[in-house]
Amino acid sequence: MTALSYFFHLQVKRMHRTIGDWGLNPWLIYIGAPLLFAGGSVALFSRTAYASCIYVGIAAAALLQLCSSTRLRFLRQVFDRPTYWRIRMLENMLMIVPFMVFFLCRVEAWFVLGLLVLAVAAVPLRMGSAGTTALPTPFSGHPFEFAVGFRTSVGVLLVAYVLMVVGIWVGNGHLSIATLLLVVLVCANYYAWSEPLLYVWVYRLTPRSFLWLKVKTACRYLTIVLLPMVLAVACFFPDKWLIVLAVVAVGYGYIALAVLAKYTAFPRGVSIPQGILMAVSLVLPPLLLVSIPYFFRQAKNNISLIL
Amino acid sequence: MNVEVFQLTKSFGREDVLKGIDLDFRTGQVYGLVGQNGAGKTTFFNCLAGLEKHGGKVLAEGGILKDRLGFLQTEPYFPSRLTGREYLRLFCKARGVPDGDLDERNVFDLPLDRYAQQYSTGMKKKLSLLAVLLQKNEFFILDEPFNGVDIHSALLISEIIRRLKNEKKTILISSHIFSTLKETCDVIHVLDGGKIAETIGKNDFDRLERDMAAFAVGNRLDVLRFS
Repeated sequence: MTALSYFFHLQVKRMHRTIGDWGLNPWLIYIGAPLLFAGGSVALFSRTAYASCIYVGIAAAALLQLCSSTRLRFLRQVFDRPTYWRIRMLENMLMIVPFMVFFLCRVEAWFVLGLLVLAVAAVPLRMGSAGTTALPTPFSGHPFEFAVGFRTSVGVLLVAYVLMVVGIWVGNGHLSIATLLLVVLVCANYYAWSEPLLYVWVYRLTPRSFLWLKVKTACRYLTIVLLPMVLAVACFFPDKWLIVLAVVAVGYGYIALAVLAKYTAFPRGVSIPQGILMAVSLVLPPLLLVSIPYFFRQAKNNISLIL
Repeated sequence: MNVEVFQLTKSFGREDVLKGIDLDFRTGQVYGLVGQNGAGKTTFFNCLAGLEKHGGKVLAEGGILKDRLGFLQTEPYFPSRLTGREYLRLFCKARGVPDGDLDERNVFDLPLDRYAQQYSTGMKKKLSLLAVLLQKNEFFILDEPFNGVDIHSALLISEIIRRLKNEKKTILISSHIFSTLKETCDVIHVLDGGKIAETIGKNDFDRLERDMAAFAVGNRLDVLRFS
């Protein structure tokens, strides 16, 4: 087996193991994922006229996942130069195959070509900070989720702020209000990964006080990010103050849910049933009144094993 | 702070890693723990800290050990985009100790406003050590504290250990550099086969070093042909 084929052989093995770790039969994913992808694609193209552009955007985001500088440094270290470039080219091509197939089915040749150009252009791309200067944040007082998350997502937050301004400029209140929700979801995502056990173990707090501290910090820092937007939207669209208020209330609920859900299964990820409950709570916000106390209780029991 | 360990056991699946460890740690003493790679030193530290479930008992004088324990791990983990200053602040806040004057207390001259993940191996170790020192703990577990640090910092760490001892702190160290253990420890425990095989006092450190060298090197290199 050549180095190139062995590399991809290992990637398949890793994927297989990851799915196994989720407690699922890998074949369920191998069959289900393409069906879900096709179904999602059909649904997207049937709903909006900008579907092709959104589709290319999703493909670009997927390609960026392969461009982490740490990962690429590892590949460079392991493989000789020609093998490295072949791997990069091949993995990018594999990544866009599902998107290309769908465009081919729709006979959209220009977009197929666009995807190919994108895949080639992404080959030399490296993502991730190599600089030594840290981005200052207003969240260093209580590290670490918001300080770390803000630095990672500052671009997305900037886009949200710009979209909010655009919404105000064109008089589209719904667009501006939607950006509030986008910011909440971005911040909730700061709690999507689990820190090592030591980062919880080190606290001299009861499980209840620990969770309370985490939720309180999350809500306080969310306010710092959200408040200027809320004030701007409420000033320019005073007739929509009730919707703004509702979005903010739900936003605080989401962030509390994200914090508590993380510690429910800590240091592992949330289980599939818990993930479903979270997703349903996001879609049906009144359910937060049930899911937040539920996740709090579960998190408290789980954390008590560590603290 | 005195800590007593009774019949501590730990298994991973069917593999018994620790098979009933009894140890007694006394206030103001520095203990070394040596053993081959995979002997279970880090597992023992994790059990002592309460980071791993285990059999047996760990009894600390005056209540819970965890809240007065400074644990320096072999390979400290730092989330990406977290500065050294934020890391120190997090560890101080977690124990409710003051987190001001960090620049003044930065004895290792670390670049605190840089991302900790970008630090060199030695700088990471020093940052992690500084964090547990700032917490004002009573008991310290230092897992390979000299790993990757430069000669000046190694001297400073040795002096820190001496000062901690003078302040009546209890310290448990593991190090693959025997001279550092010889210099700082009062007692060295040898972990082998999941048990404490030997406990050595200061007077016998030289003998232990000779035994370890004989065992580690012996004639095993004869099978390799370097040229």
